[in-house]
Amino acid sequence: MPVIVRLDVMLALRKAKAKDVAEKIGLSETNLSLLRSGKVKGVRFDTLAKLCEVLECKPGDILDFEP
Amino acid sequence: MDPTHAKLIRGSRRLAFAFTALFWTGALWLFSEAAWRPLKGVVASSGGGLAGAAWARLFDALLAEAPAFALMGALWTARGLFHRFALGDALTPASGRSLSLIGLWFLASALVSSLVPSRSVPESGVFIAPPGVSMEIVLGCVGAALVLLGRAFAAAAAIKADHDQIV
Repeated sequence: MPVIVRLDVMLALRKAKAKDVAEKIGLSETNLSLLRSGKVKGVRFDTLAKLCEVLECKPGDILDFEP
Repeated sequence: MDPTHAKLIRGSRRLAFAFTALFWTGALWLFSEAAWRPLKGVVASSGGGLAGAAWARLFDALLAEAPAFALMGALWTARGLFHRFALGDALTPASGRSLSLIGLWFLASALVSSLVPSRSVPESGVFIAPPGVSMEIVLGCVGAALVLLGRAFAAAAAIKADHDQIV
């Protein structure tokens, strides 16, 4: 899959805990963990928007493309 | 749990119970109607010269009820399907397969019913209107529809599984 999830990097940069972020955006820890490891088939715009809001970043900071 | 889901679970539990009761009632009825008397004949004639005829009578009786045996299979599968629904596993590939299997049982019953000589055919051999033929067509159509519905159900389950992987 050429789309890479860089959520781990953003979490480290913002020094945020996955558990806290999951709680703030209303996602289960399991789902956030799956998203971090890239084991999901897609991300809802809604989830992405909430992540960007909490981590104060843009979608491009979370998702990357490597052909 | 949302009310629709709760209603589905409640209804499925009742239907699973109803299908279980129907299955065992049907099994008892089939045994008493088709097998009991011929079996008694087999036991009574064991060792005698009429044993062969008794066995043939038992075989004929079971063959004549073959479509009912297929419908019993459909009842048992439906029981399992609604039992699964009652546990909350509504939209799963297994439920789709069960629905298709019910359709296949119906198709099998219709096919066997059209092949096996019916007991209701008059012995005079006058065969004006084939008894049960229209019923077999209906049964076959319902069976085919259920097979397709089962496949649609399985496709929906696959879409749901995909959807569940979107966070």
